[in-house]
Amino acid sequence: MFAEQYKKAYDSIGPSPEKYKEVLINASEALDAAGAKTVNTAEKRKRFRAAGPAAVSAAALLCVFLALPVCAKNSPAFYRVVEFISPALADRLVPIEKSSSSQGITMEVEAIDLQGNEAQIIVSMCDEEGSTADRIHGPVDLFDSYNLFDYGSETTLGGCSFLAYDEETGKAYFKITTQTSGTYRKDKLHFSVREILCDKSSEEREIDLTGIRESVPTRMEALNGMGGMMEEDSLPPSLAMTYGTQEDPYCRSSVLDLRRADECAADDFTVTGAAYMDGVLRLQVCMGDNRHADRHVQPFVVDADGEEKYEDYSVSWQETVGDVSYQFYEYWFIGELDNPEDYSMYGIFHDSGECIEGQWEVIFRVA
Amino acid sequence: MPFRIVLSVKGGKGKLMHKENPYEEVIERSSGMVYRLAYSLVKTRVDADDIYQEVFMRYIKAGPVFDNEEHEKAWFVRVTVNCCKNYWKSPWIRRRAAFYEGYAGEKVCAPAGFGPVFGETGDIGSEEQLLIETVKELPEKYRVVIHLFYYEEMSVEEIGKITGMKASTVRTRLTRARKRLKEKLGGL
Repeated sequence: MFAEQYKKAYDSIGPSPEKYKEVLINASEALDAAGAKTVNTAEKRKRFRAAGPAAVSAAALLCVFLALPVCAKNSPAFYRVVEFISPALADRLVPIEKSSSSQGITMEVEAIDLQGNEAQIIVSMCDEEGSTADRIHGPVDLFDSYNLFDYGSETTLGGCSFLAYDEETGKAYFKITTQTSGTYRKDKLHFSVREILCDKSSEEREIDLTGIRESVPTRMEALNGMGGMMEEDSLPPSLAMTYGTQEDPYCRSSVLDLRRADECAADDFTVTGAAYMDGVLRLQVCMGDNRHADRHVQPFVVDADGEEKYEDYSVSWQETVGDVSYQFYEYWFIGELDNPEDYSMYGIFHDSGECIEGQWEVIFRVA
Repeated sequence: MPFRIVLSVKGGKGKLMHKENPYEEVIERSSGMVYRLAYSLVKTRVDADDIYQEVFMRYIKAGPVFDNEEHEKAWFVRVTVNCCKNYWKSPWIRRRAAFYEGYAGEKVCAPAGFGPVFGETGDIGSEEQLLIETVKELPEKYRVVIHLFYYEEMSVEEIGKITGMKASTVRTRLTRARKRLKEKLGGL
């Protein structure tokens, strides 16, 4: 009964004809480009650190050539970024090419796509012309400090992803997605960035689970973040949360009561402890003061067969000591680990280098 | 986490025969399966569109030659699940999760991709709509096994092989998922 209903329900779900056609076009163009691939691939790979395959790039480029010849015609820089985005988005982007400089760094709004209350913006950052500081020379992060404002909306939410660093032009490209409370007005838009993080790095480290403790004191902590693959109401009783009220808006949950903030490094990671309690493997890490950094960890365990398991849920909170605000994370691996000592634990530790504060802003309109 | 394809791909005799465009035939055959699996995992059409496109981009990039249709299906299931995992691990999604509505009364986010989104599944009956939305409320690890078992009609062993889980783990997840669905929907 359920199987029939499930099949019936999902039979109605499928890609739109446009999306399907788009994929076929990509495939077809990739075939056409295959002959030219050997000529250009080596050069492209050298130029772009994050460049995709030449065939896909060529397909994306051809799609844009075919679908958007008018607005992209006079914008060679525009073509440099379409390799890293979906052809569907490339079709809709309108070149802007307005720039602003601050702290020896130039930000340029390369192109934008406005659809109702959602915007996708392609932005680049590079050293200001004539600057010898060499601050932008690889992946950078806008550190959630960007904003697209149309002088009419009340709230804006967004996300940012790094696209690529182009060694030839020294530009780092980003795609920013923002959403506002109402439909964006196209006649006057203001885009700004306040902070950027340079010299990001990541390193994989093993975390020793030998002799992991099964009984560790815990305390309730006010959280400033939580999330994961598991729904909150599915968490085991030992991890159950208390939800915020009007008087006390913070959710609280049980965390390991191990090292306190003043025992941790302010500018580095500190693994403050791990425990296996009530069938849950818990790992706690202090990121130090993260207000001007973006230290974060992706922990995972590997069993004897090499199968990787990621945390089911994580919570975060802050502890302040003097002027330093320490950010803590606790990662929970729930169930299915019969004996944690049979597993190896690793973490990918992502660190960030210099944080540069500035005022990059441009005002533009979308034709 | 870097993406890894665990299935080997190799050419040779006895492979599937292709027409003028070898991609087209495979895309046509796998299109619906990839999209439905992506939708069942990421829950919204917008995100499923991205995953769908990403999967076929990877197919075109890798250009694998499949031994048979079973091999082909396994490859697409594996890559779709991996793409969805990467989606969940992306900073953008993690940040959306960290600031979802109501957590501290400060930031309020419209969390597309989190929780049920009605009206996206087209013109289907209310019973089917309810079923889809109820399944969407399950954690991702349960949705994978439910979808592969009930829609793709794969056996527990096949699901385990493709997703890299032990058959016993798949069985446990299937049982737990069924139990949860039974509580909400009855039957099963």
